[in-house]
Amino acid sequence: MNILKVTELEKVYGTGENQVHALKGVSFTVSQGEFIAVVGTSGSGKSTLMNLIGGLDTPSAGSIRIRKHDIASLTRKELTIFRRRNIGFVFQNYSLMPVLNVYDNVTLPVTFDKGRHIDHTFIQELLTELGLWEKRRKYPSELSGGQQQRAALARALANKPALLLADEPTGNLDSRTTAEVMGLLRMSARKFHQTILMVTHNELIAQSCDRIITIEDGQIMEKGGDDLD
Amino acid sequence: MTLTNIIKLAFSYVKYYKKQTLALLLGTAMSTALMTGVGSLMYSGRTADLQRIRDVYGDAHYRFDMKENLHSGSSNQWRETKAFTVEKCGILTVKKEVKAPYQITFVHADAGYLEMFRRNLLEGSYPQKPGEVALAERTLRNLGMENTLGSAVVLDGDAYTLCGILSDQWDETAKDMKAFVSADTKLEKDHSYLYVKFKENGRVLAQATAFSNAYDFDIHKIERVSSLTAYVGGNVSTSLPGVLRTALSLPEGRLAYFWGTLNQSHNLTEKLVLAALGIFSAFVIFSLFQVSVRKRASQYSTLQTLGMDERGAFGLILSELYMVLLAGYPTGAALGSLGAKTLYSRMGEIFVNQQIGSIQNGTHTAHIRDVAAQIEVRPGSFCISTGTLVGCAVFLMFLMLSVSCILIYRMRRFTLAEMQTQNTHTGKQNRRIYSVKRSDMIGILSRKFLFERKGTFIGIIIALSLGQILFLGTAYVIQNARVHNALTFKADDGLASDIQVYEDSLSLSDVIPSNAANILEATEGVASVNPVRYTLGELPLENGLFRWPEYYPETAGEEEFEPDPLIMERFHGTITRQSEKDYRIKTNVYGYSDQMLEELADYLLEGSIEPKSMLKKDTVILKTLMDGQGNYDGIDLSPGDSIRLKVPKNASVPEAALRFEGAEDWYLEKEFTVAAVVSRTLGKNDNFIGDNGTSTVGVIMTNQQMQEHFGIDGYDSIGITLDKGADHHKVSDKIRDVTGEIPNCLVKDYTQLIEQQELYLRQKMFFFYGIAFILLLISIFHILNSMQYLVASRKHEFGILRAMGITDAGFCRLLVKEGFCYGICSGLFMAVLYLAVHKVLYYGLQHVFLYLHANANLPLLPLLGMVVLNLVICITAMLWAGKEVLDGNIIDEIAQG
Repeated sequence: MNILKVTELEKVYGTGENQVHALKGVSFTVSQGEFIAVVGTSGSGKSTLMNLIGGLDTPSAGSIRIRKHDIASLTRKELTIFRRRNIGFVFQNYSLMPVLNVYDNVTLPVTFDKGRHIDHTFIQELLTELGLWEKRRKYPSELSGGQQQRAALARALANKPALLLADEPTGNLDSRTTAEVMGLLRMSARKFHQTILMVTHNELIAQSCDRIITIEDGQIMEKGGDDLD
Repeated sequence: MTLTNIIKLAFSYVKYYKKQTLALLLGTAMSTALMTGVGSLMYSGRTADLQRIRDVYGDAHYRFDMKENLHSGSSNQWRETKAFTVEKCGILTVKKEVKAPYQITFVHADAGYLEMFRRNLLEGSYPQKPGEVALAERTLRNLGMENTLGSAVVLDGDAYTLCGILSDQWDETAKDMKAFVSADTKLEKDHSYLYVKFKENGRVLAQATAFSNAYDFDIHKIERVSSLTAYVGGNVSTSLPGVLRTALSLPEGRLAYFWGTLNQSHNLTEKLVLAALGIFSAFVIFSLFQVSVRKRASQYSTLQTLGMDERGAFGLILSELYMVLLAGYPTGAALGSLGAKTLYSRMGEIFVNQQIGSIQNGTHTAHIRDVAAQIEVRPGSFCISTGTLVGCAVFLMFLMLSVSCILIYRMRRFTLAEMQTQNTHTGKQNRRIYSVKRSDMIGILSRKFLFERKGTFIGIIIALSLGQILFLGTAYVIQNARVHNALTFKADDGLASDIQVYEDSLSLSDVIPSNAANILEATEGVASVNPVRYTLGELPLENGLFRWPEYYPETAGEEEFEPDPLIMERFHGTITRQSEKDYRIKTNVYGYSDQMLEELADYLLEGSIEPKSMLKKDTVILKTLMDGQGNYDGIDLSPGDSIRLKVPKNASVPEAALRFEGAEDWYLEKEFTVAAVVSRTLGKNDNFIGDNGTSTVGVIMTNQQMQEHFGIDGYDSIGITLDKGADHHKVSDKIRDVTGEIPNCLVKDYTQLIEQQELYLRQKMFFFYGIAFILLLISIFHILNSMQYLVASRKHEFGILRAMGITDAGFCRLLVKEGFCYGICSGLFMAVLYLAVHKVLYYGLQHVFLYLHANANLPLLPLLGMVVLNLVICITAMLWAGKEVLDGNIIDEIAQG
């Protein structure tokens, strides 16, 4: 089952002489449970692609369909709600709330949905799987980089999203921790049947994924998997 | 890093962070404008006071006791040295002092003295030979002599020819009447005093000391001539510990003494106002700048990582602040001076002390109505207070130096890495997991954000509250000042009615016939008349009812605290001691109209005033004494107590009856019950024992009671209120037609004076509310800036929240909650702090500024209004700042981490 369908995606920044074509006619699909690496050099457009898919930015042309919803057609409020229910983010700089401990950081996105109860059993399972249960009362500033990224991963999974977007999740980590985090991402994809789209510039890390999408100068150079068409 | 490089870098920061620089510039300029503007206004007022004092009391500073044969001769022989400069001088030679029946001093004054004391010759000439005398108008009136030149006057048994009439002397300490005689008049004494005016560009006390040393004057016999000397550095330096020691030794009114003494010697009130503005400015400037510095903590860390030492960082912060000061201070000073000048040119009178010249002793008592009529209140030209300008500059420089030190000290608590990551959180972490029991994590998050940096939170709360406390405090003082001014206006200043018709006579037989009141009431343009009946009485205060023997010179038994000789002569003193605990006190006895009695309720201390009940139950109102600290417990009489009042039987008894020593058949005695105790009287008589509102006792009853008990039918005075829009000139003329035939009856039209006083009052209110409003504006500006910083500093976190799916409404809810918390916390803090401020202000108004009926109640409505305003401002400011976040790009916001 296809979770994501990107069609002729274009993104242009600036106007006139300062115009930059960040993405040109990008199209691809992603199936449920796939763990895909998006690779490319710096400035190739991979982060822009992730931001567009995550609804953090709006495309200049083309469409993005997630679970058959065209996110371009959603209003600002609908997009926000859609994002919190369907997309999980893992950022390179972890982006945890410094004022909350690990447990509250993880449950925070769930509480945005009024009337929705937190599945504490699932959160406990998640934190245990990610090796953070003992650290649940710790604050981000008290954790190592790897632990913070694991907490960010737990937070991204807490809402059981359709798609997990990870932008250079290992960019700030050493090789040992990188391997650890990658193992956890793979485990999550497998155990929670989670679809993951991960941006990385590290070819070696990308090799461990199910599929690799390479972007150069805003265009997809090679792709794998089946198209929806 | 060299100084040039530091300055260059600081300049780059100033240019780059335009918004922060502008906020700081605005804060500095507004604070400077406020401080220098208010300082210059008060200084201009003081300068005008000084001129008014000169007009009233003359411009001599000190009196030197001249040794006979040593310094005789011309008063122009005193040379100028480096230590002193004599600008004017004059010699007064005392020829004879008569103590009884009136205190008359025979003197010869030279031209210098007469000029310094404004004793102008109104008619005739100054005495040239023995046997001639020149007297002042008031002296002639007090002695009951006619003011015809060439007439014979008998003084102390000797006959003189009146050769000149001089202008009156307005001297608050003068108890004697001066009879001017020629230089060669030989009498009992020939003791001269030298009056000197020094150049006022330095402390005149130092000049006076140097002058006495140079000419061998006895330094212990130098006397200050008037309050002018205090304005020009003539005060002996007050030692703070000394004042404190004395204040603590007083059984009551410790603060009142402390404040009063320092206020007299150091203009404490003025300095406190400036200090309050300074503290407020300090908080605003500190708060504004710390926002700017916090934003750049990582940059300072980078600079230090690159090798800049702590001194360099300090120099960088200080340079930046001083650059802002360099632009903000002149702008603020110019704005403040310009604003103050405009204000002063329009309503300068409100800064001038209008009481100058109105305080006199005993029968010399003159009320503001008379003084104001004689010496116009002139604000003079606006003067920029260089002292405040320099003081403000020094204060701001010191403040900015302190701000730099504090910020560097704060930075020292963090490692460079912590500063780099802006992770400057310290303190114990709360390990509680909230989401287990709570589903409203937005509330938790808002609280966490609020208390994330406790220091910042407290700083913002204090800064938020300060402006409002100043506003509330000012408003409270203004409200009470308004009531107090209105009350003193009617009572102490005697301006309760537009036109007053009164008997200017020393005899009880001179009264306004009762039918005159009826005619006046029917006069066109007259809205109402309030006739007052009067007699002098005596009240026995036995068995310790009188608690303040030290209050009157007659009973205090202190040297140099002597009773008024005129009062002693005519009335045998204001009070007489019968035995250890028994006294008899002279009292003014008034009969008021019902309307006046009802108006007297504004001055009520105890009991209740109901004219009908007073008549029915035969009760009276007691006007009690007030001491210098606003206490009213000098006489132990309360509602329900009985008093025995003794008054002359009728107006035909001999004048000696007013001494209350004569035969019993000269008097009537009646017993009354006290219904109420009041602090002031309204319609009053100044011709007998005086009625200055504080040191005279009064018994007030209805006019009918006065008639029934004492047979007094005529009136002593009639207060007339005019119809709105009535031509007061025409009405006055009509009234004069009615009163023209009544002996010693005068008509005074106070309409213009009342209008002028009311205008001053309105202007005063406008000014103070204006200042309070400016403070509130600065406070609001500061709140907006602080909130914007708070929100801006969390853009990264807000970006994450938005990425995770918080809706715009949810985000706004988060901000509203935080704004609400700030509003509530600052509101509570403000309320608690204001409670303390209110208590101090209330005490000050009651015991230092002697306000009549200062309101002790907390101004709940304004307080509540301020809390609501605080809430609205904080929430609006948060939402306004949050709009920038919502309009921004989520990715950019996340990238700010």
